[in-house]
Amino acid sequence: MKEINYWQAIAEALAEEMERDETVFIIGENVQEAPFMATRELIQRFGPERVMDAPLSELAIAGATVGAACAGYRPVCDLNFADFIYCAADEILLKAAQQNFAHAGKVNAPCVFLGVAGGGFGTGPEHSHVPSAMVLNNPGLKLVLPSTPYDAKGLMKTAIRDNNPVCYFFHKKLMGLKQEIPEDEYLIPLGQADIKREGTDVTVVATLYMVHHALEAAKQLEGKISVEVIDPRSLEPLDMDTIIESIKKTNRVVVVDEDTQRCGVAAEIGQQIMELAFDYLDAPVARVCSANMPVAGAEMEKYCIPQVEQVVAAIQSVCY
Amino acid sequence: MSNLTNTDKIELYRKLVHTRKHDELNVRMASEGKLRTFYHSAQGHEAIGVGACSVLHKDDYLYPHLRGHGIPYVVGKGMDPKPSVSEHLGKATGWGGGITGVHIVDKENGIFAQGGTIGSAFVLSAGFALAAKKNGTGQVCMCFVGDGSVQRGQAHEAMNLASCWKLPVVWVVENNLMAWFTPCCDSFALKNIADMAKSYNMPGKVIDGMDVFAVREAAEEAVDLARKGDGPSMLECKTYRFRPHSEGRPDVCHYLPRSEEEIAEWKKRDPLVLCQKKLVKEKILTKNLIDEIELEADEKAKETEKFALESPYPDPSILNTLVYAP
Amino acid sequence: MINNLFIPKLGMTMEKGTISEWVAEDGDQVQQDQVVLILETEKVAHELVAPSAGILAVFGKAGEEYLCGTVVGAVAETKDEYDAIKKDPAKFLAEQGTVPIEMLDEAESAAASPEAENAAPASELTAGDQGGSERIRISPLARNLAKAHGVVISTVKGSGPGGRIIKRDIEAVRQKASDATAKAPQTAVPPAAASGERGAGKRVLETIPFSGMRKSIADNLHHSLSSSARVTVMFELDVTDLMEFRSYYSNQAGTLGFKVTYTDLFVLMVSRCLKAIPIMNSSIVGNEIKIWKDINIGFAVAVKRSETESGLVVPVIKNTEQMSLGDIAKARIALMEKARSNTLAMDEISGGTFTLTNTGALSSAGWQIQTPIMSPGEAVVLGTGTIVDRPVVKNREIVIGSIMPMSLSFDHRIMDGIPPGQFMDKLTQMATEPQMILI
Repeated sequence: MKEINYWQAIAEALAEEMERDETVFIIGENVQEAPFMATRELIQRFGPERVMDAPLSELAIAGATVGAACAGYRPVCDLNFADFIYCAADEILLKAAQQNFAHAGKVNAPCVFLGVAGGGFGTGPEHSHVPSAMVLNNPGLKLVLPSTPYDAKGLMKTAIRDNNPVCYFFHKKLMGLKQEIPEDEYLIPLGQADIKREGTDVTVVATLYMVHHALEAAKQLEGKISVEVIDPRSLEPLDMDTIIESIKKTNRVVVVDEDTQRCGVAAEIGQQIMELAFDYLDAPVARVCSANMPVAGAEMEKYCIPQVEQVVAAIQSVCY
Repeated sequence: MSNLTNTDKIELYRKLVHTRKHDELNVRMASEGKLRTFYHSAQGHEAIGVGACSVLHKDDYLYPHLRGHGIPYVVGKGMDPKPSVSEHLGKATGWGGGITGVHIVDKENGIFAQGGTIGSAFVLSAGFALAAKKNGTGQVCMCFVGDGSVQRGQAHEAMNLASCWKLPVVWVVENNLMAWFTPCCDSFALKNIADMAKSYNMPGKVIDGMDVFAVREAAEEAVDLARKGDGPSMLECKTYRFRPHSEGRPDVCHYLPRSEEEIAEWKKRDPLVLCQKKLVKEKILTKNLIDEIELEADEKAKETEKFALESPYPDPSILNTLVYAP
Repeated sequence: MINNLFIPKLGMTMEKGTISEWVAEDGDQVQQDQVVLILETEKVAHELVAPSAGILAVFGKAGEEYLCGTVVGAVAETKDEYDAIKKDPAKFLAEQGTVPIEMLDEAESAAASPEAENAAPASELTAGDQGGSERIRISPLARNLAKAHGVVISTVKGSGPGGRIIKRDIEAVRQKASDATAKAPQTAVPPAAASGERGAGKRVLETIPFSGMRKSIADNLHHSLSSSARVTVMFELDVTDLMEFRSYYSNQAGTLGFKVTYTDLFVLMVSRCLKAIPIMNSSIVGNEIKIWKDINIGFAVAVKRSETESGLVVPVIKNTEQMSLGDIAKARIALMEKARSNTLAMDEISGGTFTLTNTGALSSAGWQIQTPIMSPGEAVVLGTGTIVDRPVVKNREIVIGSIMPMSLSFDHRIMDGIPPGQFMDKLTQMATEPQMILI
């Protein structure tokens, strides 16, 4: 085992996959210096041909990614901020997502769209999103949301090897998070939830930084309410089986998601719970999401994105 | 031009006729209601796809324009247009398996995708060209777009990126003076689209898009540059569409009918007529050969129609299996 | 100090009970362990005794059916406590966790009476969507649990937001019921009979209450018939040799201390057959067929409770697969005695996997063909008729044989004809060569 932090885990996964498969390359703005660390120190090892600093053109970067992927490469497109997916929406949501389907499975587009997501630093309405629901609204894309260094590495390696476009959003607040991970290579399959904490009274489903909110809430409620925290790790594919198994045990569930509440991930998971486990519910599904407003910045941010106290309150609200 | 043999020239003419016959087939089937989707006729545009694609190698990458829904380009590249018509009838033998009724794909011949939102062509083709460059085998990517798509941001982003990275891509703009119903002169700031190229430090050339030989010559030059590693070029082919933007729509400029005089004037320069006249003048084409090619193209179109009509529809149960690649 | 009187759960399968009558009345001073009410359950009547000395408060109505665990009365140690309960019985009951729906009417009328002016208004009494035709708030899980355990949700007080019934509330009802089983007295008295002449278009000779044991038998049999696919197959058993076999043991009765009956022999033979053909010893549970390891044979016994009330009980001899003929006979005798004295415990009349019904003695004319109904939840019932002497062909000669008519009903949902056929063969083989039973 070795201790590694979150961004190092991502960079290590990228390096290992670039080493393993020469069709893997990185394209994006400032990927050589890597302001968000994930691609840091790769330029020294792989050179500018494979760590490509691109113009400030999300459409061109994403389009080139999709094109190269169609033509046999496995590019990793660094969007910097996950919010910038909006700039490249045509290429990611229409072209990448629909490539395999629209061309009868004859040409697929294996690529990864990497973006740093979420709030916590007061970066305001255009640099603080976790645009999960929008990604999920476009079938054909997969969505990976790692909450720990271990997951970040194993999931990135799988994402690169996946034959489909995968959106991989990592969280600003987790960059320095440290964890021991195996020395040896490992992969984590997409669509396999992880039970981050076992409990018996209520199931909390959360991804990314919200996993840590859920764990903190569970800690605060220790001795009063036994909280099970489930991290789906990828929302497409989504491991509902693990969630449902947990609900069969706890009969209560809170879904925590940092994306906007309206038509969001929590709504989708909540609905699936009703469809799959209605008869096991002893309380309505509760959700804690970002408020239905833009994400404010600076001091106002905390009124827009989920806080630990809200998670605690939601857990208490279903544990009557 | 000089290096074209008589056979090459006759082949270009033959491809123009085949393209036209297949386009007419689609137009007829659209009016008969047999086409299960929309159709943007290529009539008037044929010389561009046929001329430019005829310089491509089999392993070169191609991104077709929506005109003729790919027919001029695949015919130009020497491919059989049969699967295009099947696709438009929604048949499983179509290029895209009848899944969308529109999209063209043929990996063997370097066609990886075709998009619906124009503008994307620019950035995707930059991606194909990036792959071509990485392959290091001298492949190029040729991408066809309309005058409307240069108004999208992708055009600028892709031209900048491709020029910076010296990507082997040739953008062929088919300027038929109209984006849908809006004339180019009212919606694009430059008189010549090719002038954009200067801004991105790449060659840009205006060409008579009705003259298949002129198109071919210019394409050859641009492709050579790309193959040598000298980066992208833009060719603006001035042309005219003889039919409405898409079948079944009014043929208007803004909201008033297009001028019949203008259409008649351009039809005098029909790319098939120009090519035929030139080759007859050069005594390369004879009346007999013209009739023979005509007959052969008619037969081929009939065969395509029969093939499309007799082909089965895809099994809808496959739809769910196509959302994600295995 | 107030001690509640509630409907006890008197056996594994008991879900509800009917108050047959209140022996003591509301306001009576009662002693601890004094019988205060008679409860009718599936097949047995029970006395409920006062849990402590004090003044009895009566909530439950005679003739009404209540879910196990429902508080139907209370004994208050002091007059003050009694008055407090009576002043607002609905509130008191709500605090106990259950509210019998009928009580609300009484409470409402009590609230309207002059001496209860200070009582809570009726509207409050029905708060929480508990009363009348109002929608009952209940979680999906709780609804599912209630259905699975036969808990009547209209009698459950919800502890969730807005009075929503949740898992905890259903479990509390079940817990109370099972606690009650432990405490409940096991003695039985015949319920009071009621009869009288009444006109109803036709002249009534006699009116017999369709309740208690009769009602339980009716419900059980009807439930079984309507929830099974019964097929009855009839066959004859030549019991000439079996009679001889039995007479050997009859002769030894003095030495053995008990008599071996045909029932004992059939319990033994049937147990052997079921061991060989396990599917005959099964039940449908949910969406599964459970083949039971335990072979528990019930045998129908006619009982008479009073002039007007008679019926059947089916005591069950448990785990007969491990018992000798002697064990079976002794167990059967003990159960018969309890049946006749109405002292069978719920557990002694439940848990069967197969039932025998012997109708041989019901008519001297000879009870031949019948179509017995399986006990609820069981797959097979075997009916045995009257033994008659008949000419039978043995070794191509006509001789006199003792023939017992057999009627075997089985649930066609669980099995087709093959297992019953095998069962008949095996039973015939044992009956005609009884020595083989011991092997």
